[in-house]
Amino acid sequence: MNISYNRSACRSYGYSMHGARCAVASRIGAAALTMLCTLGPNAGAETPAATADKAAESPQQSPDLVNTQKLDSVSTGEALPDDNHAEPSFEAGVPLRDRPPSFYGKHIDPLIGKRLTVGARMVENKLKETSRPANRDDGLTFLGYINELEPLDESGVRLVVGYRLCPYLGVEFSHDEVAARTRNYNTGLSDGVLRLSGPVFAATLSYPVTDKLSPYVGLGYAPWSASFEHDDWWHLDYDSPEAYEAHGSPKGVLYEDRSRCIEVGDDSAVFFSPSAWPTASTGTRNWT
Amino acid sequence: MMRQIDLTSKACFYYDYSGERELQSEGEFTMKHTTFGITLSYVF
Repeated sequence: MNISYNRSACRSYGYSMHGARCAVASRIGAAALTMLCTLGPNAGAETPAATADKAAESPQQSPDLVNTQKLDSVSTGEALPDDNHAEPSFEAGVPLRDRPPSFYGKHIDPLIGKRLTVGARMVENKLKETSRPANRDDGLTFLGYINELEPLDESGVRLVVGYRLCPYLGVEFSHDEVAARTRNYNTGLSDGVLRLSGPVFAATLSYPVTDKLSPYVGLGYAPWSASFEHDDWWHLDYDSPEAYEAHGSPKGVLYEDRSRCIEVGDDSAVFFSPSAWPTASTGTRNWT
Repeated sequence: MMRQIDLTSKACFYYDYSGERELQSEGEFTMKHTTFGITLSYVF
């Protein structure tokens, strides 16, 4: 028995067809359409109008016949074509799996896929020792009359690049710096700013507890270079910033016949990340 | 993340008389610091 499920098909039987029969057919047709929409990703695009258009393009099959075949398949329990297992293909007709891999997919992705991470790290640096006794004669100060360090630029955003060698071991590279303004106890004035900066190399050992949680510990090395940015008035040997301004703040003009300088040396250190902080991963993003 | 880096910068203060240096004092700046951070990374 041929039963049509859409109104156009009902009309194809003619208005002489009994009204109740047409209503039942419409309900069955709607149910069949719903089932088809849930069978595969492409089935959702199969609207009755599109079906009728397709059928119109094919002279061998009328819209009624197409709709009838689908309905018969459902009602008789026959297997419909499974769109979920259809070969993914493009317009060229070449299945995706048969296409030759791109240069990225062949050479680069195997090396960096799920391994390389690039991120931004918001940091907060805290200096441990910011003051010393105001006693230059016994050598208790940092240098000369300098007995206080005033931290600068404590917060910032740093670029971090990581590479996971295996599920448990990774390496990480970043750059960081700490800076402090020196302060003299005899005058309360500052000579300039001390700045240490450089790369931070670290190896991280982690244990993935779940897919999205992986606590880790790190062992690293920081070879940093130091620099001292003199305040002009102090470097040019003026008595104070006010005295320097009173002379018109001349660039490079010594107050007398000498300049004052502070030289600082580089340093490096091995460090250990003592805490096991979790790495929470959400898809292509990691929070550490 | 958290880390602690123990750095010390040796320092010296001197007068410079047209290139001729006269050392006045020596010391060191302890720059041991603790870093706290949170990172948002893109996984390739």
